[in-house]
Amino acid sequence: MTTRTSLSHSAAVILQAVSNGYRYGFDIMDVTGLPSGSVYPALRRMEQSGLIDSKWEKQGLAQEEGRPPRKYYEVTPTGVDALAEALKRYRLIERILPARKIKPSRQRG
Amino acid sequence: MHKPKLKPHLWLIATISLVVPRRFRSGWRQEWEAELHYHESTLRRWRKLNILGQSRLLRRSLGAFHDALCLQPARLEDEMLQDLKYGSRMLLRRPGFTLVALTALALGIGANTAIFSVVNAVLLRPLPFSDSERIVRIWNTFLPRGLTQLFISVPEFVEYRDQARTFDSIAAFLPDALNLTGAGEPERVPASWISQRFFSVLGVEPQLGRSFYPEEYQPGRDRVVIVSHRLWKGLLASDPALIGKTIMLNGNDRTVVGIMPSAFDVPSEDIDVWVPFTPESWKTGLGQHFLSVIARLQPGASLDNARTEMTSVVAGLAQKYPDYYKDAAGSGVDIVPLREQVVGNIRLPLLVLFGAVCFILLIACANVANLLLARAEARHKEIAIRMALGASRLRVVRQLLTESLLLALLGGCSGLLLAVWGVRLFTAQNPFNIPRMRAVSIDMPILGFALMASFLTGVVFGLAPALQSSKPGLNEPLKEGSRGAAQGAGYRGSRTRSLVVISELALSVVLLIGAGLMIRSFRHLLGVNLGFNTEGVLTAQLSLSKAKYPDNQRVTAFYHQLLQRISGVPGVQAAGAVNSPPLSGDSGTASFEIEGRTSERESDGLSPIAAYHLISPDYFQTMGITVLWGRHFTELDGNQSPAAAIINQTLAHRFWGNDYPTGKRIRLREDAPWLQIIGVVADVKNRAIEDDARPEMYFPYVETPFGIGPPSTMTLVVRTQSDPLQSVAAIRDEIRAMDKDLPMDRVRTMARIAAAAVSRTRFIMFLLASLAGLALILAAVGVYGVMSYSVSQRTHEIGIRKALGAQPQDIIRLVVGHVLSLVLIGIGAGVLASLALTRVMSSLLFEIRANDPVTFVGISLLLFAVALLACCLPVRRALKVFPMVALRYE
Repeated sequence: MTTRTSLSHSAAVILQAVSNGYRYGFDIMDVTGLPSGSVYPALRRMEQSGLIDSKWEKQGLAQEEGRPPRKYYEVTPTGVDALAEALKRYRLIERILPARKIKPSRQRG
Repeated sequence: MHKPKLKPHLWLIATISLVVPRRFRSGWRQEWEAELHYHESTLRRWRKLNILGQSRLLRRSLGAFHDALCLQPARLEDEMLQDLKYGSRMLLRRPGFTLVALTALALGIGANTAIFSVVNAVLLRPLPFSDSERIVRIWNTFLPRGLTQLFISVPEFVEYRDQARTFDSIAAFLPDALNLTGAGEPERVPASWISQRFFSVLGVEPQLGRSFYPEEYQPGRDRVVIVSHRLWKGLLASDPALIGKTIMLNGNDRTVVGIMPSAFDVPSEDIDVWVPFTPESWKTGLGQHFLSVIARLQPGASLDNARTEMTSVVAGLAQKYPDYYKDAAGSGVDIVPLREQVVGNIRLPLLVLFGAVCFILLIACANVANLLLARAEARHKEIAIRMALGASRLRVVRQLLTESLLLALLGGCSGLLLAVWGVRLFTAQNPFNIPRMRAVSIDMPILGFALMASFLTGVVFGLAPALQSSKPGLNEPLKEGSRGAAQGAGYRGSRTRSLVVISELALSVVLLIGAGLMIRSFRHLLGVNLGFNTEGVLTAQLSLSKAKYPDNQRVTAFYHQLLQRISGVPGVQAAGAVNSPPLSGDSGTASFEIEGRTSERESDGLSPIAAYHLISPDYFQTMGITVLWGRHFTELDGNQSPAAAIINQTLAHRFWGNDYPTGKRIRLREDAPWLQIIGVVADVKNRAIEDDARPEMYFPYVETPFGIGPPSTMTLVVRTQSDPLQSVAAIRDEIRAMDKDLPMDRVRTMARIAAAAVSRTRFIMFLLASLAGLALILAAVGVYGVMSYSVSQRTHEIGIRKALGAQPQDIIRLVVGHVLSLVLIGIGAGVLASLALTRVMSSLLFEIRANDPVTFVGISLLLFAVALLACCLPVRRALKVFPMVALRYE
């Protein structure tokens, strides 16, 4: 994939965040501290170039909680490679971003 | 689906989502709403939804705006792709329409690109010399006789060179031809004598080797030569070690010191060798004008500076040589930029052709616009629906423009292929020796031109229909019944279409009239009485070298014997020789006086002049030139008998009216003997075919008592029983038997020379006529389109009229009347435009005026007839309308 070498720092941070289990926009914003104006466009770009994939939460689950279904992002194999590549350049990212400890059990629905 | 309660941040998302491309909108909105909802609930859970929490929520939802903006390019891309997809679907759905439109566009753009590539290379691109705009030609003028561009004599050249200060450098050259021997067959190669500084005027150096050293221009040290790239690659077999070797030219060894670049073409592109000379060493007088002079202006010096200075230099010359200048009062000098000199003659024909192809492109545009308009009307409903569903007018126009641009670009691509093919044809034929033709190519600027032309074309023919069909208020068709709708919209559209047809017809008229004028000129040219019989005559040029034939007796003896031998060749009927053959353009002129009428002067007060030719006794019989009175020359005319001259009809008529010049005598100089006029011959087109007959004299080719002749270069003319070219080998054998080193040059039949004399007119005529034919077809298609559309629109009306008892002639009047008025307006506008435009080409015409009424009326009638023809089919359809069917017609 052509984007492999051209990942910007913030894109790498976001990718790392997704890979660490922060799987939707606001979560990523919270953990990275990046504004929504950077996070969403970066997510869309990475989704377009196949680094991440998105899935809608199952309808029933959301209805149960009385909210619209959420969109979850996850890293594709290509994205894993790209992230590994990017981490060679931005060595600090891995240390800054904590792995998500508690995975909400219901998110996969 | 869960319906969120309306909160400020959700309002914001809902609003912002309006700018998100429709394709992404629902997903986008849902994602943001879910995010915000989750955020809100988390915050609430932590009981932190105070003012701070709320404002954070709002701030975050504002991020959605940025997100939405980032999606905008996708929208444009999307819609463009959509437009393109839709456009190509529409084009494929109507292959007939697409094919017709594409053909018209390809022809229009292709012809434009081809001619533009020639215009670009020949007229627009500067000459391939450094600071080429500073290079000029210097000519003598003699305005009292209306003569411009006269050659320059040696003393004049020396004076110009030494006195003029506005020139950086100044040099003379003299085109010639030399016999190249020692490399297989003897060959006559085009050559140019050049004086010192020739190469520095042009700012060009040989590609290999060097130019001449200054001392190599001096007699005795001048056994050097520079050869052309072509000669090197051809006759000299690409010898890699050519520099320093010798070649044999006119019987003299010359060392090759340089090879010019292949593109070097001064004085002309056929020159193969350049040999050095110093004009002063040729002891010729003020009266012998034969040098061509080029110069490079000083940086900053203008043409006017140079002209002013040269005028005073000529005045100085007149003081220095009062004897010569008392007869030559009025001599002057003209300075012409080299570029003007090279391309001046070709500019007008090329621009006329370029204008013609632009017209073709416009007509093609009009045609396609017409087709699109017709189609747009058929698509009214579709467009109305799209607009009703919320498409903006801009969006609809963009959609329609995308379609027309797609069409134009496809047409442009096919046109480019046509252009490549056309340019190859054009450069290979080089129909009338256009200079700098080798520089013509399809390169980046040309590709850019084709692209621009296609783009503009697409906009030109697409914009009107697009604007037309996206006019507001078009939801009318949805409300009304479809019949009324088509008529209402059709009326609006038909005005635009009428305008398009009128302009198309007018443009065609201009092209047709231009072509008509050229065709009539060409017919006049073919009808010109050349004064000799072109059939079965072979010509070839021979040039005797001074080394082998140092004196006049030997030259005369050679030709005398050669002509006798050739006359004996089987199949040869007669053989003669002349120093300047018909249609060659080069002949000497001399002033003369008539015995007893020495005070005879032309209307301008100058002594009469005539062109002269030196001929062998059998020349007139061989060429089939009629002797009107008196006799031919015999072998005795010349030294042995009293000197004699034969004059042409024009000269005889001018001085003796309808009387025969019995016993009349003329002489060329005061110190020369009188010449008896022994005959009068018919006028012959010795110069250009377009030129009027002028006074001419013929002298025997032997040594004359007045210092002219015998010429070492003569053209053989041989009349044969069958195809003249079959006798070439036999004639060559005779020549070789007499001189094995003498090449036979410019072997051509007289018929070919005569054809070449009209080739320029033939070529322009051919191109203009083809373009005009194309225009005629396009115009007919245009009229047919309007006509058949109008009939189909009025089928209902025609049905009612028929049901009410209308006769066929009423129907014809009804449907044809409107279209014919358009045709008449179009023809009228075209005739008016032609009156203004054809004047431009009057110098290309021959014996016909640019406003020739026959052509104008004829073309108008032709176009009218074609328009009527184009109406036939639709009219037949109208007449066949059955009232009942028509009333049901939706």
